[in-house]
Amino acid sequence: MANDHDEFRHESLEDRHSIAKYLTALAEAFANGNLTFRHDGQRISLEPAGLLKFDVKAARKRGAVKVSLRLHWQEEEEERDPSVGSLVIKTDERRK
Amino acid sequence: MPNLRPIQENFRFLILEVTKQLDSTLSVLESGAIELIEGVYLKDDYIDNLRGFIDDKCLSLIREAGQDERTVELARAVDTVTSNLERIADFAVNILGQYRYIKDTSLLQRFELQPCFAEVLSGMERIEDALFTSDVAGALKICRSEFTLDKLYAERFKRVMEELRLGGERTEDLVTTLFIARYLERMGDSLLNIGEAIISLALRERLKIHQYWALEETLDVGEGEGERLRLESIAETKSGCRIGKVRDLRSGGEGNLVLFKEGSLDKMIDERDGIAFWQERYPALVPKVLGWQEGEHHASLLLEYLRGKTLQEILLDGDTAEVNTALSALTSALREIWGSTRKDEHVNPGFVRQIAKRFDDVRVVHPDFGSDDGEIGGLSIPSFDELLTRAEAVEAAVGARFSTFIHGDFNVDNVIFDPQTGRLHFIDLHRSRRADYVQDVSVFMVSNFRLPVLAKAHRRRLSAVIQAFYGFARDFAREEGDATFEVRLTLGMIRSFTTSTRFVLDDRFARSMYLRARYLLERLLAHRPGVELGDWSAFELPANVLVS
Repeated sequence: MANDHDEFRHESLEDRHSIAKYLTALAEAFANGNLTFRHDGQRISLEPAGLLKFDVKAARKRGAVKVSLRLHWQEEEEERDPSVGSLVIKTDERRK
Repeated sequence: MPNLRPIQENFRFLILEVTKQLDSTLSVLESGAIELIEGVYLKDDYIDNLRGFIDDKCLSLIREAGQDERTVELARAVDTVTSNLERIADFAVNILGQYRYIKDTSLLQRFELQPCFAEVLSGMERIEDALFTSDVAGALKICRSEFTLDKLYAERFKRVMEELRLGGERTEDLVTTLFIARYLERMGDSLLNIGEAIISLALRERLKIHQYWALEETLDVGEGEGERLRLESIAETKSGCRIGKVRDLRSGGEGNLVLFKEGSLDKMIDERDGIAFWQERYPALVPKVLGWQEGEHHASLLLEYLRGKTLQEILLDGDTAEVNTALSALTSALREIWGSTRKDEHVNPGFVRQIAKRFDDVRVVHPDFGSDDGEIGGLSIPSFDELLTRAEAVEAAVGARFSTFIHGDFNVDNVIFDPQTGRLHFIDLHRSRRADYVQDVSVFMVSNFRLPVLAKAHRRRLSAVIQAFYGFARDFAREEGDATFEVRLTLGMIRSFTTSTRFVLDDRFARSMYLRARYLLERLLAHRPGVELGDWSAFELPANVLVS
């Protein structure tokens, strides 16, 4: 289970060949449903489930090129905070 | 010019009062005039007040001075001198405090403290004039008092020790006498501070007395004549040396410029030896040594002033034609030097070890560099430290097969070119020796890259210079059959990119160099040597890192 606020960041220089191993690692992790990041003794484990919002952006501005991939999803609230139980709605079956 | 008269008036009183305190103290010591003691204590408060007045006036002078730097400098000097004068007065009070413990005053008289007082007073006499006329010769005499006082103290110390060793009942009096003499010696320290403040004011540079003397002695001028040597600029180098540009205005000096370099003894010896290393074979390439002076811990060199601009200045401010001429001169000189000093022998620059030696300094500035291992899904990312360890094995396998003369600290600002005469010079030669020329190639390339200029036109030019220099060095390597040039250059670039970050506080810029080093390391380690194990001839420096 993730903490309330976790963050992982990795920055490196790559070329079009060396970037492949990062993208492959990410693709495999999504396929397995388990995405783990580790840095500086901290581990973030994510389990993508449900609907993922996927946002791809490419831009070129005076020679500076940017391609961004963004994935958003919401974890089940119960997973983050077990004190939030699911609601039970009862309706009265008898009618007068 | 602001009105200095009120300060000068208070200052004159201060000198007068401190002088009187010293006179009274001496009278008590010499003739037992104990009735004077109370007066000295009372006067001490007055001296404190005077100092307060002068402080306030200096502060408002600084406030009013605005852009008038000279007035600010004078006010600062007055402040330093004033606080040291007050300290001298305090020492006089301390002496009288000790005097009360003396049982046999004739013993004190035997130690003749009068010459010590006379020396302090003679220094004091010169202060006002020297300060308000920024007189170097006067300031030097004030500094000299400290050395005379040290000598006088040492003599008395020795005598006290001798008498203590003989034993007897005078132990307490002897120890008290020593305390008194010690206060006089400390007055000398204050006089030295005063003299140095005046020298710094006169030369407009913060100079310690030993630095000033080094300047005088290397220039071989008489005491105080330094005034006719005008210090045009002074700069501190990264290695802690000071370099001054001095104009010699003495008769015979013809207003020529000379370079004065002062630093720790070992560094200066390296510099002198570095110059000598080149002198024999390439006398015109390096500055002539005009003087050398060494002390216990420091030394100084007087060097011929080389006309021209540093290559850095040319690259940043020159036009394209000028840059091309300078670069052609540089590469022709290097081709000649490398070619004709080539000697077949195995040398290994040990770039990885060079990084290890400096990495603590890097981490002081950039604490997160080095331990950056991680994991992304099933991919594990090794730390920079780990990559370095692995690169050591590569380095061991790819030493150079020949050595040449190298500069050793081949930064773009250590080359001077005179466009008028077409002459090229090397400076800062403390690391010159026989070694792998790739060391100079990589240092030169990264020293261009790391110049803190952001304008696109500048960056483009720097990239072009780096690429052109790389092309030149690669051609030379091919001609010489140097099969591991590229891999050694890559290691050298890793070294220079990494260690340069310790001088770069701009986090983004430092990171861009660090990430380049890391990228090169990964590419190097991903390379599979050819069929024959250890064949690195197919490896090429990933040239994309050269562009910023």
